[in-house]
Amino acid sequence: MNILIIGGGICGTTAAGELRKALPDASITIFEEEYHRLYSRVLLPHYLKGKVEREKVFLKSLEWYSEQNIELLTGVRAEGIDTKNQFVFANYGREYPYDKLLLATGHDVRLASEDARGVHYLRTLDDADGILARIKTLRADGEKTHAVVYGGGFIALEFLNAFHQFDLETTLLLRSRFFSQSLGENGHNLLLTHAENQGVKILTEVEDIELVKNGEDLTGIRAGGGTIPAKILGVGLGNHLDEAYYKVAGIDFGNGIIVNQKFETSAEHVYAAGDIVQYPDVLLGAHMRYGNYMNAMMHGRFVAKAIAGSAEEMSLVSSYATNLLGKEIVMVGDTRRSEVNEIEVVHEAEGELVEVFSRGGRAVGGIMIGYTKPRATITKAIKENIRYENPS
Amino acid sequence: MQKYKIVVDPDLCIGAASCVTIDPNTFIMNDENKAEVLDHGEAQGGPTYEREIEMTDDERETLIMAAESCPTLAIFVYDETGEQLYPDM
Repeated sequence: MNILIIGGGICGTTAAGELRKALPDASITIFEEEYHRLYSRVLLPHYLKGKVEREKVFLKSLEWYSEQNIELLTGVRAEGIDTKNQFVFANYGREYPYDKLLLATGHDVRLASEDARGVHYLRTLDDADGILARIKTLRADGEKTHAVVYGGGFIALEFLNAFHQFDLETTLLLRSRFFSQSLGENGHNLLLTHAENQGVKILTEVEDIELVKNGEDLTGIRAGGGTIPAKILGVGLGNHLDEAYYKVAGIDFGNGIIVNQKFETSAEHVYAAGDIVQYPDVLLGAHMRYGNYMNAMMHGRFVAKAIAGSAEEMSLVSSYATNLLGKEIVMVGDTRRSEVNEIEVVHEAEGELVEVFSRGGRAVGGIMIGYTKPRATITKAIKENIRYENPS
Repeated sequence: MQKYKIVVDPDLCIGAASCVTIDPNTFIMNDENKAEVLDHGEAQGGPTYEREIEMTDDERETLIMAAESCPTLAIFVYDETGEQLYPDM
């Protein structure tokens, strides 16, 4: 069997390793757009902050790929997919036939409307290298450096944490709330107050920004009727998927690639997994699209089983964990406020908030800020498909 | 049964809790949202980030899977001789 995997991140590489165990004679090839072997994107903030060395972010050695007889092609992009004749066009003109194709590309970042030297994203190791190089250059200039962060989600928080570590005077530009799909007013205000107490200046309801440049170099941001001096901008506006790319290939697309519980897409012999799919989550009774490491890894494991012919299905309460300048934030299950019919505050204290999300009287999600003790009981309620009973 | 030493680095742990999902007999989240190590579901001697535990081969396989699932490589596993089994590079 000839298996082609597009995407060498945690989902695609986990799938490759599991496929090798299940199908010792299969040909397995990974297309990876970046020029790196597998590394942990979750370690990039640690790397930025100097907590781990660059070499320590890698999860696989090159020897692992050769030992597993998995061909890793780096710097290769799939320009198009012919699902009828079962081959993929690589960016350098070559066609790769497949018997089974796995799409595990992960998503792209949503870009700001302009670019300049000093505008940064945080998705790849090269992005992290670029941020460190920029900060080093600015420090060498010897001036007090101002930074701006644009956005209010997971990546925006990582920028805030990193800039704080580098002692940069930072302004946060929020388009709406922190985690706008998940947090209500009280959660948003809690984080707002915490960030301000840590010295972050915040502008809310920022519709759009305009870059101020000196040549190609960023010198400021125009937003909210004023200009903020800034030589570095961290953009965290969420993710983006190229819907047209998949639709041209005849693959059904909703909020992501639509798959069934065996990770099969609407195109025969084409599977998809990880951040890019809308997966039918049996525990939540909803099609979910998650963008976290644990989910991607588990998808990789189970899509491999499906390709190898196993009927075993995935059952996972997905979760995200992060922090804003030391304030812990955990989200488990479905935390889309618009998709539930009951949100109960089960704990509230100074700097602490816990909300449980329910649908049809059954717990489907939970948000914990500054207090994570109920995590296990909320997760258990979601897993057992029951109402959450507050132990206190 | 073989003895294994399991160590969690709380400075690296970000509370993703994938280890708890995969191996709840060996890991539990504490109130600081860090993973602590259990011995077959028990916290004998109190909470800790480090334990020596006897395990069967199947239990060891689950443990390694849990360690591999950690996105920040915060879980270290050693055998009886002190050789680091994971991370293996």
